[in-house]
Amino acid sequence: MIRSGLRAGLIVFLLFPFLFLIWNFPVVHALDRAEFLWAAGNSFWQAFGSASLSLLFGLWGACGLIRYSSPARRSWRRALEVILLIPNFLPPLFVLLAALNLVDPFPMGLPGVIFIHTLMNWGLVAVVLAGLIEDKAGATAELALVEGASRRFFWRKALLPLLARDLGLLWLFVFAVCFGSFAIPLVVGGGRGTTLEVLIYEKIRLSTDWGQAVLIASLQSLFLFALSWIVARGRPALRSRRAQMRLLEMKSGVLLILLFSALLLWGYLQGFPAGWEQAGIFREMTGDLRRAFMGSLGMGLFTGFFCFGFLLLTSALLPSAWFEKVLSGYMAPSSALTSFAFLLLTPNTGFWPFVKIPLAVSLVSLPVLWRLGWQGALDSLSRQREVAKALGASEFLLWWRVLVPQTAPLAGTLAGLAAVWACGDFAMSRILAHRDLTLAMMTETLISSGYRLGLATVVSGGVLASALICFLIMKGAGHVLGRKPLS
Amino acid sequence: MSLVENLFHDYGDFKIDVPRWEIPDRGITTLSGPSGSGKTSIFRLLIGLEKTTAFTWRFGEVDLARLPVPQRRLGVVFQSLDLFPHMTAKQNILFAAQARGLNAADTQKRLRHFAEALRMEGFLDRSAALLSGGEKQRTALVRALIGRPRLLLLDEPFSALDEELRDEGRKLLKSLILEEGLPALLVTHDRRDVETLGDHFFRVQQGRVEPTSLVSK
Repeated sequence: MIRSGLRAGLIVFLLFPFLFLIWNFPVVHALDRAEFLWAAGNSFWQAFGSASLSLLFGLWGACGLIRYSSPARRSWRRALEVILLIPNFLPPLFVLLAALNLVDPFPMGLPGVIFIHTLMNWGLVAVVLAGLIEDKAGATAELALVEGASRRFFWRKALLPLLARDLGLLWLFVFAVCFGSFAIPLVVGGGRGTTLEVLIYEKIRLSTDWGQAVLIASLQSLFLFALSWIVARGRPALRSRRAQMRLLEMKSGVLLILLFSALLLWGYLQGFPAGWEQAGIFREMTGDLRRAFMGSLGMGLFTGFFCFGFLLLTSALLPSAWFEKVLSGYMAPSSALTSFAFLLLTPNTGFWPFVKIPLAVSLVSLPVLWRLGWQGALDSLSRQREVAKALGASEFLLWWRVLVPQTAPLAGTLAGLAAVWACGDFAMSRILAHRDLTLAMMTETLISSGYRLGLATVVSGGVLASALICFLIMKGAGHVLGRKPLS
Repeated sequence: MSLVENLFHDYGDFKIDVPRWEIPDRGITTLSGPSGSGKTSIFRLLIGLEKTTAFTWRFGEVDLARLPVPQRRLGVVFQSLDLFPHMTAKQNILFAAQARGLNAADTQKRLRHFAEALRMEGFLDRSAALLSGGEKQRTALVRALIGRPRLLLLDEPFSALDEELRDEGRKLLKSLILEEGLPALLVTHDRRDVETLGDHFFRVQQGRVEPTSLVSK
């Protein structure tokens, strides 16, 4: 009974933005069709372009990664994968700064959005694709090499047909992620690149037309839900034996990875000298900076511990077929809508933003964390659940002695990621707070107000520091809790 | 004698259909049959890991089918042994004792006894992930026995071992069960298991259980 109540409670929390806004603003408003179609078109084209370019570069990068698939070169492979994944897992703020420092004048509007989305996502695509190619096409690539097939022939006749479905699903995944993106279009979308997410934001912030905002968000969520349903139908490939991949390896893929990463790093670091030249301003801002740093730490830790608790609670509430289905099929609601739902909930002064921003960031992050490994980790323990039950273990004993020791370290890592995202969030925070409470918000203010990119880059160094501290604390908490039940 | 009735389950392309089955409450009862005949499904249904509605299982005064899984008080050894990999061998065993709420002093005494009888002292404090096949098997067996179950259920408990270790495992199992005076149900497709260990014999074929006289003992 208690467990059923808790399950229902967690689902209500996840659905809260929809339930709350639909309750308060029934969807009865007529839609401004022209405006909606224009914004939907922008969302579609930027997501289309971002997904297509990410897939193209990702495939190229994957062929570079494959050069390092032998056990002897595994550590190089790991290093390259980390380099590729950093832009995807760091808050968008950093890629944004690097790109703005690098490309001057920056192409605001759809090209700019596509450019930054591609920078953020192509690495993840490369890592996923490299694994897929090895698993699905490893043995056939070796056979084709022995049979004397040319690279072009193998790609055309074997690899692309073999991976067509996976490439399609991966494209769709990146498309869905970019379609629902908020922070990037908000900053570099400009007036002509307004996407549905930004339109929702503008409807509420500028014209206070809540009914239309809820309607647009509902339509967008339906579309994203349909996409996620299709993406979730993909099945993991069976791992084939380790094979000689000479037909697929590309040296230029490695060069691409190194070049992109060096450019991003160079772009980001480039802002520091310019920022230090204006160091005088920092002296005036010392108090604000200190407060914002503490604010970032607070937001990060609150988000981290909330997600940590949420994840561990879900482990205690499984197995339950309906609960698992809801969690697996659930797509995070629009970031703008989530923030506005929290905005209406309680006052927005005093300590309230410090509660509401972490809750809003958690709500948007949790579905990502679920898919990022938590669901897989819980699935892999289902057999141990059965064994423990058969041995007579109570639900609590099973959770505390079997599940917590094996899942808490992963929960800590995932919660640490959420904490990093909270430290780097500026878009949702901007809606929920009227002044700059965190370093990420200060950074965004500096970017927006006359493009003081140098200063923004220096301040973002503090964001990085606070994110790192939060991540390490959450990771440590995961390890400590993981050892506790057996000590 | 325990009496299983109405053990039915429809898996779509396959059915378990056991209207009545008397399981002796002494010695080792074997349930054998070829792969895919339904042995493991029956094993899981008896334990309660899969649900079925009309099933009753009279064990003395108790209908085990009505009890939740943890309260059935069955000792179980699965085919893959399934030790908790994050625990040591000893922690695995003590987990089962704690799950049954056993007295700590009694548990320690029994653990010492089993450890001595099965020559386990050398690896009790080793992580389960680092145990050899034979060590894992002994740990799984003691884990199933430590909680003083009313019946021991074993699903192909030797299949993960090589031939030499299997013989040793069989001897060990037989002696332990005799010593504990515990009834056991052994599910196996290995004829040697049946011949060496069985006291009562049943066969499962296409989801149906029937007595069989096999056996050249």
